[in-house]
Amino acid sequence: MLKIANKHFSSRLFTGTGKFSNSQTMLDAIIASGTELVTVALKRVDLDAGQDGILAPLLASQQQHNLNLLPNTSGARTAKEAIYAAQLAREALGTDLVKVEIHPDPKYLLPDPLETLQASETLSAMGFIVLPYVHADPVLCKRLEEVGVAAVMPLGSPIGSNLGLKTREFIQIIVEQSSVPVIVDAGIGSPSDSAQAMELGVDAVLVNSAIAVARDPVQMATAFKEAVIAGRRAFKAGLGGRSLSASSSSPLTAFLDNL
Amino acid sequence: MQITVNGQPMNVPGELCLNELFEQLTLQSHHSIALAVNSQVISRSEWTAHQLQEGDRIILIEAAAGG
Repeated sequence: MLKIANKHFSSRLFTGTGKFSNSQTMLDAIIASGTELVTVALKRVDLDAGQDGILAPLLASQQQHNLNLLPNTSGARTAKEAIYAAQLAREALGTDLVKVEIHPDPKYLLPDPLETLQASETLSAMGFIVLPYVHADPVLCKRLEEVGVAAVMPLGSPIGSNLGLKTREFIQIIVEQSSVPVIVDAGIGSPSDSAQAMELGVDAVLVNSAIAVARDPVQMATAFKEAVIAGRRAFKAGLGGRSLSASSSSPLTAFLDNL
Repeated sequence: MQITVNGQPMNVPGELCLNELFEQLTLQSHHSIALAVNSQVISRSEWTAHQLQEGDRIILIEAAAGG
């Protein structure tokens, strides 16, 4: 069973709550995915327009469905802003879990490694359970581990791009070296992408856009659930090696020689 | 006394604690909300004891959908 800090997870699929068309579809998809960890963001309350309420059904049934919340610091451009956002999140949601997400550039939303390392160190020292969103940089992941993060979340490709596992070889190095759980975050576009990530031995994947914007998010959530289970099982079973030349799987006996 | 809430100027009585301000805002949901005064997060248990000062900048945040 997956363990992050002191929390156990029987599902290795984490899901986001962004981009769903309505709150019921969001809740149905999240339940169908079997996830036990869902990410949420923070925003300023709009005093004129009021609260949008899209998360309300999810928050109301959070305990019934055994869902942990993972607030992110999305919108933060510096370590200082991320630390502030994390403190607000802890107060708003009553959890020490935080996904440190610092991306100053809105076009590619790539994480700033220096600010992320700094924020992760401070927040870990403050008692937060820190899961930093990072580029698939094996050296950075080790540095984050040294400052006390509970897991690392390297990207597969840019957030919401659905491009899949473009960082495959680097994720493999991170898995080989890491002593904390590795969660592939961002870019997972299809169930087969998530299965491939799991086959590499990552501990979990986080999927949002690919489920939320599917034609049928509930069916897609189920497909992701099955793919993550299949990928994990394949990793545990041990994949056969690859080779350019063939290796017969049928007996090449000589019974046809006499024709 | 003049304060701002999420950037909006607001006139409030001179003697007002955070909890009273929060009640005045008449939000639909009181759950999953956090509040900061001048960039200092104030936990809900301290709202009653925290008196507002002239020029205070209040930030009120809520959980939102996101990945």
